[in-house]
Amino acid sequence: MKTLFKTIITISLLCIVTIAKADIAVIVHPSSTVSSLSNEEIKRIFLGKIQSFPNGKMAVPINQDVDSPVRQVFNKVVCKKSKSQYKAYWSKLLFTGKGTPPADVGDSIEVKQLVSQNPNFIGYVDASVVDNSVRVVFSIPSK
Amino acid sequence: MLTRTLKKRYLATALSAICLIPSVQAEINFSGFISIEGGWLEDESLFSYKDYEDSDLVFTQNTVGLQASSDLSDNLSATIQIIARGQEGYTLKPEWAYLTWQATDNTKVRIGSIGTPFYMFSDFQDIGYAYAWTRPPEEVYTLPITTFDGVNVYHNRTIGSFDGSLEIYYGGLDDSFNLGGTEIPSSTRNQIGIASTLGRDWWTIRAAFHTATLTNDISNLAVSEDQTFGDFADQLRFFGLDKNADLLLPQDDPAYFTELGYTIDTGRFVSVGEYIIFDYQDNFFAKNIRYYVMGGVRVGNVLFHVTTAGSRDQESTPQEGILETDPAAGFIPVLEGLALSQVEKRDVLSLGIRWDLPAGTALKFQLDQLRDTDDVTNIELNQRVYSVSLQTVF
Repeated sequence: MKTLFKTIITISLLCIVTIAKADIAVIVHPSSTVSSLSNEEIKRIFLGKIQSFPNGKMAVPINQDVDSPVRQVFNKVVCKKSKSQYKAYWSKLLFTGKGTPPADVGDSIEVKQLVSQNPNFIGYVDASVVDNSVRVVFSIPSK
Repeated sequence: MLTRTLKKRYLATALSAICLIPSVQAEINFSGFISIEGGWLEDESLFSYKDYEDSDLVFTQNTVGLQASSDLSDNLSATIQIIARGQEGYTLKPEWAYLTWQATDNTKVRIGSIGTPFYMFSDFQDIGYAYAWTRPPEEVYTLPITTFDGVNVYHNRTIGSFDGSLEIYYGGLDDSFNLGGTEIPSSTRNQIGIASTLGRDWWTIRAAFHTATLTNDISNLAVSEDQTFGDFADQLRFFGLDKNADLLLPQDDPAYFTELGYTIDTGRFVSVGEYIIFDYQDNFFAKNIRYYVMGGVRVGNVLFHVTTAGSRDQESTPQEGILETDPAAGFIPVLEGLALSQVEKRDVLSLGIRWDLPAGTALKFQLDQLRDTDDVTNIELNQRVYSVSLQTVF
């Protein structure tokens, strides 16, 4: 049990170290006329408080999978919520049909692929996967 | 009455059928929640609370809910939520069943059997994962019937850095609730309500107002060993006290519900409070004046919280108009006694811990310390309730 505990701690620390070194980029389709978004605007989109970009076009946020370390950092820094707070927030809206949480679509590669194919999508990825198939509208700097 | 209940079931069945029809556009989304909840009283010879009656730990408050939602077209979806409660022998009941029309980006219209937006936590009252306590404060969350059949319009909007919402509904209901072992048929007509919220960053405030013509049919409920309320009302009429017979029975009487509330969540600090007045007029039910305030702090995955709640009900006066010199003056203490029996004067102090476990589940412990003042005798009774729950959503 003790060895397992140690292993978990070590892996967790490694994950933290890995995140601390990587930037996270919030991306949209390259044809979008949105050049940048504020932390507050992105938070509002991912919490379902607004449904469109500042230019009036529909915004469809997509999440990485629940256990993705990139998602943990995004939720903490942009949405200001921990994993359980984020889940509790959406459970309040989901059961009355007042909102639907963004779909969980996979990892940074899968998010990038979907965003590059759909002008309404907005997602967040590890900055290292960014290329010119997507446009970066916000960066979460490394600590 | 019977017709409406059948109508609700029909609606629910129809919606279930819609959800099961395979179609190119239809995609059914399932979500659900589980709450395993149990507790015990310190002194089982005293009054029960939160439906716990034993001094042994029993898990009688378990709830399982499943929701299915299907897009019927671009702007139209059907939703049904089915709940099974341990308290009701796990009988599957469609709790909500409605169609949602996304009228505009910010406006949703729902029609069907919908949750009534009385309280701040009305939308997710059964979903323990969404809040700190094992259950929302019993003093305030006191209304036994929390759905209606009708139309609800929900509008939300961002104004600068403020987020606001407005909800209006109209409808009615035929249902029943359990009062001390007897099923009481309950119905509302012309139920209308409005709820609004305004928030920014870490705080939100809420105000709601509802009104309806409410009937709770207690004519078959025993008022004494050999008499029902119906019998007693007849007796009053026999003595020419028609007005008092009407003031006794809660039949087609106006009901008003007012709520004011706030939430604060800074991530580290949490606070919630609500103040309600439930004014059910022209009968022997008391005017419920209730409140709670909670404060808490998050340390890692644990939320420590303290809540103070209270009831300061005001008794009604079904005996008004009967003179001391009247031959029927003997009814005055009986009616006064009935009115006082409906009054709660109680203080509750609750301490709780919510621990967010890794698998998206919350484990909770709660201690409620109650001080109840009997309005007639002024005797204070103390009771302690312990509760524990494990709750998740999926």
